[in-house]
Amino acid sequence: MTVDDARHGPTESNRHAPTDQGVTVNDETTAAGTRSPLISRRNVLRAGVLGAAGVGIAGVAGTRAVRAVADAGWQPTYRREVHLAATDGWVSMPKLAKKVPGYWPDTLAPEPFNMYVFGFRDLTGASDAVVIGERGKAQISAPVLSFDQGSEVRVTLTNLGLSQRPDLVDGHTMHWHGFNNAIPIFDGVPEMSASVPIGKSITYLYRPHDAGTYMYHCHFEDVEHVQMGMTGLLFVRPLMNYDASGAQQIDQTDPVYPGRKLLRYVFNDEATRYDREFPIFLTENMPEDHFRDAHIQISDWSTYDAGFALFNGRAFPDTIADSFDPMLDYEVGSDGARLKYQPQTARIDVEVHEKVLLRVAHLGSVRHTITVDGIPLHVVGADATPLRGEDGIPAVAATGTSPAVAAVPGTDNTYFTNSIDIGPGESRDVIFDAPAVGTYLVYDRNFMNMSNTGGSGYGGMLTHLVVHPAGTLGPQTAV
Amino acid sequence: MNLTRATAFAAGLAVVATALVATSTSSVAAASDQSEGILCEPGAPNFDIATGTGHISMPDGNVVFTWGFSTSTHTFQLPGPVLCVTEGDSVSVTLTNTLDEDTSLVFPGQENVMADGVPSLPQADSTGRVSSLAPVATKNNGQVTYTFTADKPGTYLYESGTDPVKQVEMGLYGALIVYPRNAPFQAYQDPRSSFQPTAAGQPRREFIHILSQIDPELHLAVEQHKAFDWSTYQAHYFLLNGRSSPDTVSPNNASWMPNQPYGSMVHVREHTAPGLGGDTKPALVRYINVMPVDAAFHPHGNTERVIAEDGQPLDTIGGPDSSYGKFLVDIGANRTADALFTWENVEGYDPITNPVPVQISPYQDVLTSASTWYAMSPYLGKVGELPAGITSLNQCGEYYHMAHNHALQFATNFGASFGGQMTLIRIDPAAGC
Repeated sequence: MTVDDARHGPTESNRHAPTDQGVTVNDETTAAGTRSPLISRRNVLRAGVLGAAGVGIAGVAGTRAVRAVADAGWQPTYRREVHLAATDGWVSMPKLAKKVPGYWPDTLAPEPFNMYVFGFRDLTGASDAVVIGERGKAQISAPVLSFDQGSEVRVTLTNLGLSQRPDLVDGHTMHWHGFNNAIPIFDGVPEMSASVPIGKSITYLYRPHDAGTYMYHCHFEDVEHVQMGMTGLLFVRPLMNYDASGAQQIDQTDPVYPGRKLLRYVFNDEATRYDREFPIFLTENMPEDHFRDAHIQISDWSTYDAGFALFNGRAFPDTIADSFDPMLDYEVGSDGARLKYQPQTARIDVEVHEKVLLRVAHLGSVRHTITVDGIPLHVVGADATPLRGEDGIPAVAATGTSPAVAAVPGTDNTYFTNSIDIGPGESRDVIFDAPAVGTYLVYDRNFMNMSNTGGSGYGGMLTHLVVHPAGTLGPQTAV
Repeated sequence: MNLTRATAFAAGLAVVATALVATSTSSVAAASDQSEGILCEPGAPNFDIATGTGHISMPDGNVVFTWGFSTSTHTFQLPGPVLCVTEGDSVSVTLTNTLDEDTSLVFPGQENVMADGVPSLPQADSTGRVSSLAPVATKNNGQVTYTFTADKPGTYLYESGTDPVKQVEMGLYGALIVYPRNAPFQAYQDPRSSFQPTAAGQPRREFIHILSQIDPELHLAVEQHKAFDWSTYQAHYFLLNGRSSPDTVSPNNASWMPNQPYGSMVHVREHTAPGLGGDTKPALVRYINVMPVDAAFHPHGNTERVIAEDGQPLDTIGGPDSSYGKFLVDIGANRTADALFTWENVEGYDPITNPVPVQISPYQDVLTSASTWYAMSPYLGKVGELPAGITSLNQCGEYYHMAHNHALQFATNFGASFGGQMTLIRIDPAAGC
């Protein structure tokens, strides 16, 4: 079903106008041509760090700058060094949601926020002084990390402590959920290795060998730290994105963006090609638990009842707002000011001709049934594993008089569905063909999760798939 | 939120330390070592099972009244005895009911089950309403004998078919394993279901994870013969083979948990090529979920390959391979799944020839649990310097990974973390410990 943008009120009016579409963020000129002011994530971060300059960008460039950043909020990066900081902070669930008497909105929350959280921040490249200054400024839906298969990756985690709870001396860790053949010291389980005390750092080293959609989270007192928001997505990109020389493959046959630089695959498998990808990260939170953590009270974590169900750390209608940058200052009263610590949009902007990849992953506590209304979904992977049998036969090179034998792929266990049934700790890689120009709904078909705190109206796990005309978004690229 | 967890943890640790001693002692004994892995009930294929009531202990100090099945080997146990039979066996299970209400057995996945010689079918009361899913052993020592031919290898369960919402929650459940005939160390006839063989009398690389849950208010009400309002049902304990973490890693038949005989720690050696000392085949983990909700079980360390669901192999000889890799094994309510686990030392880190290429923080700069499974060294088979005041639960530098329900409210003991449906995966170096 298509949805008229106008139904969603005046704030929606220009949001999806193609002329206002954010260009992708890239340090280099893309094949689509020269673009008006590009702000790379790196530059924005630098600008933000410099204080006055950061304010300037947010203030002067306004929507334009935000838009560019918006698309960069979860933009794939091919980094090998990441610096994460773990701390607490405050975020905003939808303001009009039904109140949870006594618990939400939290009376301790500073404006414009209303819920206490723990979370990770991406402070790669920032100075020590800047890093320390981010104490008490956690984000939820942790920074999306993406790495290349076969690379050597270092993630340094710094524990900044909890500004609201100086009485707690909790450690933090990074657990790469699903990493194959992990060794304990880099698996981030405190009882099996070590955790990061306040004021210290641990560097985790990974050599990912298997492409796919993973997650990461803190494993220190896991039930609490995960519920409080220390969860995020992690992608490993297959070697097939590169040619023999190690350069990113270029697709000259792309009908809209000939020379599209980042031909992408989910796995090392032609059948998993896509044009544009989006993270859909599923969590829920229980406002009572968050309140009790802020107010120095104990929760019985075995009783769990989700109040807000989230895509990328946001509940509808915040899911369809732009991405923001926690390093920037936004105008008082704006979406940016309220949502900068839930920086990742869950709005899915695609072009009409494209193959779209949804990387759906779940670190909440109850099952969900995610649907893209009316659109057949091709599930090609689960838990960072291709849906193929192990009965494939590898290729054999020609030798002497024997001709080469082509590889035989394993049994194709991929499937088409209208709904993605997914439980805690699981991931799915889902590809679909973008339908006609228009706006479509993506939501949890368990309707209990399409409400905020049981109130009336729509909320929770609901977002928009916005299909734009061909050639209006620019190719999705990466820094 | 340290108080409750710390208390629970400390309580569990004494148990764990003892467990390791017990394990290492028994592993040098040449005689039968049943401290780990699947523990089959003797007497197959004929079993005499009685219902009973007893108490189980939780790591936080709580004691819970439960029901259970047991044979003559235990006066009371939870879960019920592991019934192991072989493909083609004529299986007989005689149930004696000591409870003060009727009960019965159902064997999901078995065909043509007979009860006292007649087909075991759902029962109705005088008004025609369903009263039981199978003919009952009446209260106060009634008896019924169920028979069937175990014609399909696989992982199954047996459980009460009478008022099951209450009786299964109270503890009337157990595992039924059907081994393929003439196919040792395989789960099914397909050789791709092979798991690591071990010598006779030694622990098998074959493990059972039975997942269940408990609302202590229900159990108290049943113990006191009081009514229970099911609309208030709220589970607070989440069991793996009848125990809660960290008790789950204690050995089979641990003397301090006489009514909870089954451990669940998965123990392997690193996977190597033949002749290098390591395991050359995976371990087999048989999951059985008797909860009314899905179990989202997450083995750390490596992705598992799910090769069967409900006793149906996903990979058949000559047919397509529909097995799948999962780092989160989802087992539906009252379903089973079989998965293969291996761990390979892919990077081969070595302190001299191939050091970990980042600085490993000295212990002064990190937090370590008061008792830790970490050897204070990142290298498999190496032991580092132990900080003062820290108790090591590590034997020889072996690795430990966690395996747990990732709906994390199920990985708690009454809300305290590092509890519930959580166990460990122990990985020994190729040379052994």
